[in-house]
Amino acid sequence: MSITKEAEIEAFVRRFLKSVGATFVIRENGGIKANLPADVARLLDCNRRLELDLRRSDEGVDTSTRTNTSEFVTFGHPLLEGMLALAKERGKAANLLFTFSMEPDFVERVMRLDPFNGAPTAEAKGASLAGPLAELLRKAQSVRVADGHVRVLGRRITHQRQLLFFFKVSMLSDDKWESTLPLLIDPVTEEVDRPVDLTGSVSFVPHRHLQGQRPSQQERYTVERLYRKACDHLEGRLANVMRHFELRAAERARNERNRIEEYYRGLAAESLEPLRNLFRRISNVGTRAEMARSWQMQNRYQEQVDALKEEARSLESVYQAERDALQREQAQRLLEVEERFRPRAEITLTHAAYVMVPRIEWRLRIERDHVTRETTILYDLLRRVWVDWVCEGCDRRILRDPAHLCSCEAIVCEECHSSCSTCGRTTCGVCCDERCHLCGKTTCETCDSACPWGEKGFGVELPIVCQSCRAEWCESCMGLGLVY
Amino acid sequence: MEIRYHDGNGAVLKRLADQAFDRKEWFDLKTEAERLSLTEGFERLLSLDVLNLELFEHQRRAVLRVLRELRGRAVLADEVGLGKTIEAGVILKEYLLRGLIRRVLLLVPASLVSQWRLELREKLELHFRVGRTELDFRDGELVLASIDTAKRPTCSPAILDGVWDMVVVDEAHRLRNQKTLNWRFVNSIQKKYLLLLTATPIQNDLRELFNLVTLLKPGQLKTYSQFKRSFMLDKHSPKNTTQLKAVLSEVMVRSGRRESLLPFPKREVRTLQVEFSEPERAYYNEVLARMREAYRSMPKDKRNMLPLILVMREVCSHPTTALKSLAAMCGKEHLRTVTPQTVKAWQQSVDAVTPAKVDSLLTYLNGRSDSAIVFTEFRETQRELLRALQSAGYTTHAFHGALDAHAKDEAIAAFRREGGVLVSTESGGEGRNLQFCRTVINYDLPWNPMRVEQRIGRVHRLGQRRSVEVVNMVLSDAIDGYVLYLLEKKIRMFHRVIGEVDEILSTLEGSFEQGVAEALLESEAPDELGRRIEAFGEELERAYRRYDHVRRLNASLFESVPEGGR
Repeated sequence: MSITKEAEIEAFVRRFLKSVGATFVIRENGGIKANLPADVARLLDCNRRLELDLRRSDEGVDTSTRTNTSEFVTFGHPLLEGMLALAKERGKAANLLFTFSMEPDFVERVMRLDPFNGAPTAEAKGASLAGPLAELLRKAQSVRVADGHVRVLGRRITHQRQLLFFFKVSMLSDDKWESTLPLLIDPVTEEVDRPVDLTGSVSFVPHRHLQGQRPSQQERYTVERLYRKACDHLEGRLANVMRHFELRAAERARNERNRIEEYYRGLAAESLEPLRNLFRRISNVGTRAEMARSWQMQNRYQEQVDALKEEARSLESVYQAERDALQREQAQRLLEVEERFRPRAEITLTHAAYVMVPRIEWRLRIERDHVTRETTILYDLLRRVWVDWVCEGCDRRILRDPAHLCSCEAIVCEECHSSCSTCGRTTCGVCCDERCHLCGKTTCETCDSACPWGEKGFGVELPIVCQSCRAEWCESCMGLGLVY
Repeated sequence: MEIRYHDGNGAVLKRLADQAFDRKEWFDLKTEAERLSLTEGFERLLSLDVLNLELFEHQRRAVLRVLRELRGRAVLADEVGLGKTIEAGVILKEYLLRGLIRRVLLLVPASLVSQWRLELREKLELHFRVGRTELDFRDGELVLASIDTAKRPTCSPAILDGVWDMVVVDEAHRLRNQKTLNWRFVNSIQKKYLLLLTATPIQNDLRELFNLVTLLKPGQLKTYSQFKRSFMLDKHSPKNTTQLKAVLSEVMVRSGRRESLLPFPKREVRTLQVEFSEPERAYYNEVLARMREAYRSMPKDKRNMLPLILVMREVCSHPTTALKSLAAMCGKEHLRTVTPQTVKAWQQSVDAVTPAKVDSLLTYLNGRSDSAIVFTEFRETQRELLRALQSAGYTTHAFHGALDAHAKDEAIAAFRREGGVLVSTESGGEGRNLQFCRTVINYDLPWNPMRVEQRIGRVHRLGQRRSVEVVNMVLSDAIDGYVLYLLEKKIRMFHRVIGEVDEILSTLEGSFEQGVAEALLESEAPDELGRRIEAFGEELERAYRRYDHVRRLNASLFESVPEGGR
């Protein structure tokens, strides 16, 4: 067994002992001397006092200090198997709360910050600001509005509940592949969110009056729905691996099938050979009969033909029986191949948790000229990203360039933002998707103009044309139309 | 791909929705436990972690090759003594650990059923059920059976109806003939994986090789006519051997002793010839005469030699050991001349002297510092020996079948710790690893050579670093001497690798034990006994030559069939 695996087992055993409340000491040789609680000892069917050796490899281990009573614990040892089984039996659901950056000092500073306007404040520049706060201020630089002003109306710290599903995926054919896969689903977007390191979380037990209450239908529905979403994501994510696994199994199966089919074809051909020989003889004797110089000779040959035909009939029935047997055998062999290489996947939800992700919510008022918009954005403290700072035109996260506040009050990215080529009014993909069919420039609602051909009542769909193109091209277009 | 969601997924969701939360440390521990329990690919042998088992390099390579390249359908054709059983067991375990197989049928020769069962249990922690009835085969998941039992009309439907994930056939050269019931039976079993174990895939004819490979992978050697055209000069001589070896390498794994580079320990074999004392000789002759008389008085078609042989073996072991059996047989049909009075008289005569063999053993042990294992077949002899050794001041340990598993472990541990002399009955010869000792004393010789081999095999095995000393104690002019003569001179048993003797004896018509017993009981005079033993010896020599020929034939053909991992 590899040293890494031994170390993993050792870490697991230690954590297990800690979790069950056992007292234990780690000896110089890496062994563990433990005293288990009585109920755990009973569950594991072992003595309360244990002496365990967890390292087999002699390198770097002082085996001289091992005692006769200590047991080498590894996979297959009832004790380790018992621990694994017990650990698997428990911990199926949890509620995990991240207290990340929840220190009062941090919270107080965040509450005083206005990170969206101008350069970082003097405090932000201070040497004392490092880590999460500095990161927050740096990232806040992306929350800007071109020619506008962002005013902070309020802020608070919230926890957003996400669902973490741990899946075990097993793929089987004549081979096996297994892996565990955690998926964290955001209930708002129903998308997979970036994974988080759970080491910074603590168990959060709901208030006593909530415990033991029957969950609402909605709660059940939410969990079930998000589980289904997670399964969809999982299948999508595994598609490539599955395809690869399936292809390899299929290739092996194809080789096997080809070999078997070729073999039985060969056998069938060989079993036909005696019959073929007999027909050849019948043909030869028949020819001799036809060419016989006397009636006697002809009769003799004819008798031989008749006898051979009789023999052929019995041989044919033998051949048919043999062929049927071969076909049955071939079908069985092919069935075995089918069964052996049939690819299938088994997905087990091993455990799941609510994960309470800490976020700072900022309520903002964005102003540009006479347009005002109030909005809320969230900063995810764990992943250090703005959550709701997305373009309302294309739904993409706004990262580098400043956002634009459209006349229609939509917040859009640089790409979705434009202005009317006629009147110069700010427009965006949300409020205006009309473009001049000649020059392709945005044309706002108030300025758009239909094609003059349409006005003539030709009944065709009216293309949009901007004022400048209309002035430049429409007259000649109409003129040409009249000529033809 | 067919995707199946586990039925238990709903329960986890319910716990979450019900807020039946566990502490975080349990949640983390579960994550860790699930990760640790993941089945890995065939990059690593999981069974080596699970079991306290070390494989030799050639075995590891063979196992990995069967798993990775041959994908569970292979002929394991290692030369005798290189551990095919362990290789097959590890392959089996690897598939079981990965959940790729569930139902396994192991078909072995009847004489090896218990040995296989023991080895699988002791070394691989696989608990096989011995298949005897239809129910065993219908319900059993891990079933071990002799091929003769399996193909019986009462059992075979149960086997053929079901689908077996893996079938393992030991001594697969017995499936060499496509027309036999054995071949057709194994061929009809529905199986995903198949392992065929044989050291000699060819016994005589290349067709045997074709049949074996076709059973494993139909079409690998095409049809027989095509095989004949491509690879056979005549039925004994192959052609296009390079090509043939390449084709065979896709289904066969073979390691030779030379390639395996295994450090087989040396054997030093000694014989302690012991002369009967006068009362012992008289006692032996009298009992032998009675046994012959009883044998002759039995009707030819109802001759039961077993009790008679047992008595003779007991007499050779220790004089008092036979007395109990003789007392129990008093007055039985065909043994009317053995009366309680005669038994009593014999008892008085042997009680008066210390048995010469005991004296000889004490003399041999005198001054030796090494620990030694003294094997005897009989509990009574064991008791006598323990008494004699203890009175001579030796540290002794007893090991026999009546001890429970814990007591057996204790006895071995004490022997290891304290040294001295372990007096063991036959049960000590099976399954126990006593490599820390290098001396085996056969206080009496079983008439079954396999048992002698098992005794020696406890200390003379791969991993033993010192040379092994085998001491055979035999009584001059008694049947023991003849048994030793046959084993030593005719088949050179004490210089062979474990497993070879079985291969040699398997070609005999009757058993070795039967051959010796018939010679002993049917002879009228010592001369005749000598002649009959000599005749039986010649039969053994022929069997040995046959085996040697087959071994050479296989070695020449399979010399460069690659081992695993190359």
